[in-house]
Amino acid sequence: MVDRDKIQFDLIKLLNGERILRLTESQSGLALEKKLAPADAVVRQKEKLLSAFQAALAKVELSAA
Amino acid sequence: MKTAAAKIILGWTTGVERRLNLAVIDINQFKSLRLQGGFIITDIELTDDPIVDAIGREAIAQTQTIAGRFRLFIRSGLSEEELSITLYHEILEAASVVTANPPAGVMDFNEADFERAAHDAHGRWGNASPANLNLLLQFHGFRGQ
Repeated sequence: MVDRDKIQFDLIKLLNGERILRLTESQSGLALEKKLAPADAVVRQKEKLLSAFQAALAKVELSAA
Repeated sequence: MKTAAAKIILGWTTGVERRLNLAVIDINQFKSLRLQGGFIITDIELTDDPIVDAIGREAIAQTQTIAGRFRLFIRSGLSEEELSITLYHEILEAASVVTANPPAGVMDFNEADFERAAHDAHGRWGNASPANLNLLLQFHGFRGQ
Protein backbone atom coordinates (compact mmCIF):
# COMPACT_ATOMS: atom_id res chain seq x y z
CA MET A 1 0.00 0.00 0.00
CA VAL A 2 1.29 3.44 -0.92
CA ASP A 3 2.50 5.73 1.83
CA ARG A 4 -0.42 8.03 2.63
CA ASP A 5 1.99 10.94 2.97
CA LYS A 6 2.76 10.67 -0.75
CA ILE A 7 -0.85 11.24 -1.77
CA GLN A 8 -1.90 14.80 -2.52
CA PHE A 9 -5.46 15.72 -1.59
CA ASP A 10 -7.03 18.61 -3.47
CA LEU A 11 -10.30 20.09 -2.27
CA ILE A 12 -11.69 22.36 -4.95
CA LYS A 13 -14.73 24.60 -4.69
CA LEU A 14 -16.09 25.35 -8.14
CA LEU A 15 -17.84 28.57 -9.16
CA ASN A 16 -21.16 26.72 -9.28
CA GLY A 17 -20.74 25.69 -5.62
CA GLU A 18 -19.83 22.06 -6.32
CA ARG A 19 -16.99 20.45 -4.39
CA ILE A 20 -14.37 18.25 -6.03
CA LEU A 21 -11.99 15.96 -4.16
CA ARG A 22 -8.97 14.90 -6.19
CA LEU A 23 -6.25 12.48 -5.14
CA THR A 24 -2.88 12.50 -6.92
CA GLU A 25 0.28 10.44 -6.56
CA SER A 26 3.09 12.24 -8.30
CA GLN A 27 5.47 9.33 -8.92
CA SER A 28 2.93 7.31 -10.91
CA GLY A 29 1.07 10.34 -12.20
CA LEU A 30 -2.17 8.69 -11.17
CA ALA A 31 -5.05 11.00 -10.27
CA LEU A 32 -8.61 10.23 -9.32
CA GLU A 33 -11.35 12.68 -8.48
CA LYS A 34 -14.94 12.72 -7.36
CA LYS A 35 -17.62 15.37 -7.22
CA LEU A 36 -18.71 15.26 -3.59
CA ALA A 37 -22.38 14.52 -2.99
CA PRO A 38 -23.53 17.51 -0.90
CA ALA A 39 -25.79 15.50 1.40
CA ASP A 40 -23.29 12.73 2.20
CA ALA A 41 -20.54 12.71 4.82
CA VAL A 42 -17.34 14.07 3.29
CA VAL A 43 -15.00 11.81 5.30
CA ARG A 44 -16.82 8.66 4.18
CA GLN A 45 -16.77 9.78 0.54
CA LYS A 46 -13.04 10.37 0.92
CA GLU A 47 -12.52 6.89 2.36
CA LYS A 48 -14.27 5.28 -0.62
CA LEU A 49 -12.29 7.36 -3.10
CA LEU A 50 -9.04 6.60 -1.27
CA SER A 51 -9.74 2.84 -1.37
CA ALA A 52 -10.38 2.99 -5.11
CA PHE A 53 -7.29 5.12 -5.59
CA GLN A 54 -5.05 2.75 -3.64
CA ALA A 55 -6.40 -0.22 -5.61
CA ALA A 56 -5.71 1.56 -8.90
CA LEU A 57 -2.26 2.51 -7.69
CA ALA A 58 -1.51 -1.10 -6.77
CA LYS A 59 -2.50 -2.17 -10.30
CA VAL A 60 -0.24 0.48 -11.82
CA GLU A 61 2.67 -0.64 -9.66
CA LEU A 62 2.01 -4.29 -10.50
CA SER A 63 1.95 -3.65 -14.23
CA ALA A 64 5.12 -1.58 -14.00
CA ALA A 65 6.98 -4.35 -12.12
CA MET B 1 0.73 37.95 -4.28
CA LYS B 2 -2.12 40.25 -3.50
CA THR B 3 -2.40 41.72 -0.06
CA ALA B 4 -5.83 42.28 1.31
CA ALA B 5 -7.40 45.55 0.31
CA ALA B 6 -8.65 48.19 2.69
CA LYS B 7 -12.25 49.18 2.94
CA ILE B 8 -13.02 51.48 0.05
CA ILE B 9 -15.74 54.02 -0.41
CA LEU B 10 -16.58 54.79 -4.02
CA GLY B 11 -18.86 57.53 -5.26
CA TRP B 12 -20.87 56.62 -8.36
CA THR B 13 -21.97 59.09 -11.03
CA THR B 14 -25.49 58.86 -9.68
CA GLY B 15 -24.19 60.55 -6.57
CA VAL B 16 -24.98 57.49 -4.52
CA GLU B 17 -22.09 56.33 -2.40
CA ARG B 18 -21.64 52.67 -2.38
CA ARG B 19 -19.49 51.06 0.23
CA LEU B 20 -17.48 48.04 -0.79
CA ASN B 21 -16.45 46.01 2.20
CA LEU B 22 -13.44 44.21 0.74
CA ALA B 23 -11.21 41.85 2.68
CA VAL B 24 -8.97 43.38 5.34
CA ILE B 25 -7.64 40.09 6.69
CA ASP B 26 -3.86 39.96 6.20
CA ILE B 27 -3.29 36.52 4.74
CA ASN B 28 0.45 36.72 5.35
CA GLN B 29 -0.18 35.91 9.02
CA PHE B 30 -1.21 32.38 7.98
CA LYS B 31 1.99 31.50 6.13
CA SER B 32 4.11 28.85 7.84
CA LEU B 33 1.42 28.61 10.50
CA ARG B 34 1.44 25.46 12.65
CA LEU B 35 -2.03 24.21 13.49
CA GLN B 36 -3.68 21.88 15.96
CA GLY B 37 -3.57 18.33 14.65
CA GLY B 38 0.00 18.63 13.38
CA PHE B 39 -0.85 20.55 10.20
CA ILE B 40 1.04 23.48 8.73
CA ILE B 41 -0.09 26.10 6.22
CA THR B 42 2.93 26.38 3.95
CA ASP B 43 1.39 28.87 1.55
CA ILE B 44 -1.75 30.87 0.96
CA GLU B 45 -2.54 33.07 -2.01
CA LEU B 46 -5.31 35.44 -2.94
CA THR B 47 -5.34 35.57 -6.69
CA ASP B 48 -6.99 37.80 -9.28
CA ASP B 49 -6.29 35.17 -11.91
CA PRO B 50 -8.97 32.55 -12.48
CA ILE B 51 -8.24 29.23 -10.79
CA VAL B 52 -8.87 26.86 -13.70
CA ASP B 53 -8.13 23.17 -13.88
CA ALA B 54 -7.01 21.03 -16.85
CA ILE B 55 -10.53 20.63 -18.18
CA GLY B 56 -11.49 24.28 -17.87
CA ARG B 57 -13.50 24.29 -14.67
CA GLU B 58 -13.19 27.51 -12.74
CA ALA B 59 -12.84 27.41 -8.97
CA ILE B 60 -13.19 29.98 -6.22
CA ALA B 61 -10.98 28.11 -3.75
CA GLN B 62 -8.58 25.22 -3.77
CA THR B 63 -6.77 23.60 -0.87
CA GLN B 64 -3.91 21.22 -1.64
CA THR B 65 -2.74 18.96 1.14
CA ILE B 66 0.16 16.57 1.21
CA ALA B 67 1.64 15.09 4.37
CA GLY B 68 -0.28 17.56 6.53
CA ARG B 69 1.02 20.58 4.65
CA PHE B 70 -1.68 22.90 3.31
CA ARG B 71 -1.49 25.26 0.31
CA LEU B 72 -4.52 27.46 -0.22
CA PHE B 73 -5.56 29.39 -3.32
CA ILE B 74 -8.53 31.72 -2.99
CA ARG B 75 -10.04 34.07 -5.55
CA SER B 76 -9.63 37.68 -4.50
CA GLY B 77 -12.56 40.06 -4.28
CA LEU B 78 -14.27 38.36 -1.36
CA SER B 79 -15.63 40.51 1.43
CA GLU B 80 -13.92 40.33 4.82
CA GLU B 81 -16.65 38.02 6.14
CA GLU B 82 -16.59 35.78 3.06
CA LEU B 83 -12.81 35.40 3.26
CA SER B 84 -12.98 34.63 6.97
CA ILE B 85 -15.67 31.97 6.50
CA THR B 86 -13.81 30.52 3.51
CA LEU B 87 -10.64 30.17 5.58
CA TYR B 88 -12.47 28.47 8.45
CA HIS B 89 -14.25 26.15 6.00
CA GLU B 90 -11.18 25.22 3.95
CA ILE B 91 -9.00 24.44 6.96
CA LEU B 92 -11.59 22.38 8.84
CA GLU B 93 -12.60 20.36 5.78
CA ALA B 94 -9.01 19.80 4.62
CA ALA B 95 -7.94 18.69 8.10
CA SER B 96 -10.89 16.28 8.23
CA VAL B 97 -10.18 14.83 4.79
CA VAL B 98 -6.45 14.34 5.12
CA THR B 99 -6.45 12.81 8.61
CA ALA B 100 -6.43 9.01 8.75
CA ASN B 101 -8.62 8.99 11.87
CA PRO B 102 -10.60 12.24 12.07
CA PRO B 103 -12.29 13.24 15.34
CA ALA B 104 -15.76 11.79 15.84
CA GLY B 105 -17.24 15.28 15.71
CA VAL B 106 -16.52 15.73 12.01
CA MET B 107 -16.99 12.14 10.79
CA ASP B 108 -20.56 12.76 9.67
CA PHE B 109 -20.11 16.31 8.37
CA ASN B 110 -21.40 16.90 4.87
CA GLU B 111 -20.66 20.02 2.84
CA ALA B 112 -23.42 22.04 4.51
CA ASP B 113 -22.18 21.02 7.97
CA PHE B 114 -18.68 22.32 7.20
CA GLU B 115 -20.17 25.56 5.91
CA ARG B 116 -22.31 25.87 9.04
CA ALA B 117 -19.28 25.21 11.26
CA ALA B 118 -17.37 27.94 9.42
CA HIS B 119 -20.24 30.42 9.87
CA ASP B 120 -20.52 29.48 13.54
CA ALA B 121 -16.76 29.98 14.03
CA HIS B 122 -16.94 33.41 12.41
CA GLY B 123 -19.90 34.34 14.60
CA ARG B 124 -18.29 32.98 17.76
CA TRP B 125 -14.69 34.18 17.40
CA GLY B 126 -14.78 36.80 14.64
CA ASN B 127 -12.43 37.00 11.68
CA ALA B 128 -10.20 34.03 10.96
CA SER B 129 -6.78 34.46 12.55
CA PRO B 130 -4.01 32.02 13.47
CA ALA B 131 -5.38 31.69 17.02
CA ASN B 132 -8.97 31.33 15.80
CA LEU B 133 -8.13 28.63 13.25
CA ASN B 134 -6.56 26.66 16.08
CA LEU B 135 -9.62 27.26 18.25
CA LEU B 136 -11.77 25.92 15.42
CA LEU B 137 -9.70 22.75 15.07
CA GLN B 138 -9.54 22.26 18.83
CA PHE B 139 -13.30 22.83 19.13
CA HIS B 140 -13.91 20.04 16.61
CA GLY B 141 -11.57 17.60 18.33
CA PHE B 142 -8.21 18.01 16.61
CA ARG B 143 -5.41 17.73 19.14
CA GLY B 144 -1.65 18.03 19.26
CA GLN B 145 0.92 19.89 17.22
